[in-house]
Amino acid sequence: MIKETMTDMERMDAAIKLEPLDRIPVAPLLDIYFPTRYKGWTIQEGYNDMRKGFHAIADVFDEVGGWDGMILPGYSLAIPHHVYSAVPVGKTLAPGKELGPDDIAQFNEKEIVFREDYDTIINLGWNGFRQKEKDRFNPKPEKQLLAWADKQMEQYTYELNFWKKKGIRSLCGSLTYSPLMTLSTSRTLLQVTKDMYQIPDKVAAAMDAMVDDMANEAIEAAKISGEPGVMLVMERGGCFYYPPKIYERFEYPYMKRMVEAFAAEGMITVMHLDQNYTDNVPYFKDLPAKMVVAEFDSMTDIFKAKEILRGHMCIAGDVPAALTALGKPEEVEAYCKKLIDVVGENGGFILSSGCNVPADCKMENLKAMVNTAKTYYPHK
Amino acid sequence: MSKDLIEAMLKFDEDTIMKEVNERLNDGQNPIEIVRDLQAGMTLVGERFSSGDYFLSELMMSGDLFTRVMAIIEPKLEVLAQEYLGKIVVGTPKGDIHDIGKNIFCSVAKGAGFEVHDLGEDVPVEQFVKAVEEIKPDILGFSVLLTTVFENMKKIVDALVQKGLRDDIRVIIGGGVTTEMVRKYVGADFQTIDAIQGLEICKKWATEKIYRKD
Repeated sequence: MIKETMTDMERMDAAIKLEPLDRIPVAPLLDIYFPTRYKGWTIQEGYNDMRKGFHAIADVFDEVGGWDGMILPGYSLAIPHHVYSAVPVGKTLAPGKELGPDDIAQFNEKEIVFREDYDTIINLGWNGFRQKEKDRFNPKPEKQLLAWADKQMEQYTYELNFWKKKGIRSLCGSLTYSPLMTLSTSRTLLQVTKDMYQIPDKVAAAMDAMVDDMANEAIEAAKISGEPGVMLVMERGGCFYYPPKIYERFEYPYMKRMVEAFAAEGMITVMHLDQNYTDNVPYFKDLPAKMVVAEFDSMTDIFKAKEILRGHMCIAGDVPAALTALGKPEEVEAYCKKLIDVVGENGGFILSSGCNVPADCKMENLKAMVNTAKTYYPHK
Repeated sequence: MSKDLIEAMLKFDEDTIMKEVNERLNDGQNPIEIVRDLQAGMTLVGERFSSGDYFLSELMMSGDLFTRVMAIIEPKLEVLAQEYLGKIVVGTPKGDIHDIGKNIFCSVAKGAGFEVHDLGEDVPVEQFVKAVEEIKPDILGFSVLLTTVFENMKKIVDALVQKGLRDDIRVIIGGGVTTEMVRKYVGADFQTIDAIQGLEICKKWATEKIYRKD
């Protein structure tokens, strides 16, 4: 074991601020799926009972021997009472409901926002549009929806406080999407892509009308939950899908505006970057220094990202899901050591899972990841 | 060969494509000639994607256009079967409903001249095996985005081995979570996260006839 000279919270903060470390902090992005299966329950059991599902996460934390921080506290959402834009759009199919009891909840790629809606979004803003068309997004009575939002927020703050009592910090006090991610999940990837090529001015005008509503809701949610950080989810805007001209017009300016709005409130941004963003990483140098964590899922070249972002931005990631699901502990350890060697040089790195810890992760592999961070630090 | 149609495919110019296709069909042209032009356009799109000039967004839009134009032409085709490069059965195994990657691969494979049987998403193991028995494809493809379906891909391949069908086909897997480690675990022949790279290996298998042990 490495002789530790920092608390877990100090270590996470120092990584984000690019300050010296006693070792690399480790913070897997752990939701309910692996813990629920590890308990021997169906996923449905953990999914439907937020408190039960959360404590399965906490039990895994204890069994592994703890780690330094949480990226998100659990599986709930931080939603202000009146909110519209802080709730990610799109229909999610749930285990035990639309899916089998042991299936992962999955996003259903169907159009719920249409091309003709852009004018309404432009005129009313995103919140106004969501309010006007609320039945389309969720036909339940408003009283019932608000009660659901309150329950989510109550659970979210419970989770944040639970981790604080354990002496660790959860980085994100709320979660939101970029405007492109939002339109992609509500229009579908194909349709929003056609929109950006065929009616680019209309899409940009709609995004102009969306971005401040979305940023402000995320800020308000984080203020209520009490944790000054926002997860900004961007999975569909990078170079895997789009050429630079699309990224530069429809993703980067809006995400930058959101990150800067969060930073102005003293809030860090965790950019959740699933899929390949390697060619987009140079743009991140223009974002506020030491206020952002770029979280990669193993599709982006994290080693190249380190070369570019060194001295500017903390990186988190990126132990591949396939490796923790199928690999051996010594293979996980070897990959984590490589990450610590290269991406961990000069700090500015949080060892984490590539996206979420997969439902079929092996416990010994999760332990290998956490233990490698606790026992291996070659940079002193 | 219609340069206008091919050029329109490269520009994703839906209006021009639909106009020319309908005019040529109304003029009584052999629909197979139109299909060949569309396929030539798709081939160029694929080449531009491979060279980095086009991105997945452009591949996706051209695939969507091709699929929709083919829906107009297909009812008028009578003797297309002999033109196919080979048969591909593709689907997303049980437990995974993601379809974006699968749909892109299906459209580019059709555009290249394969007979594609898309089983859809969340497809049970038995349905894959039955499709292989009945359709007798040259290639079987899985598209996945969740690690939890690795096991089902393996079950399908294992079932094909047990039934003595595995040696007759090639198996390809694709999707963001797949790796070489996953390919070995499943028992597939090729793994990719790139639809055009996947298509190229399928074309290689088809042209070299190396998918069958004769």
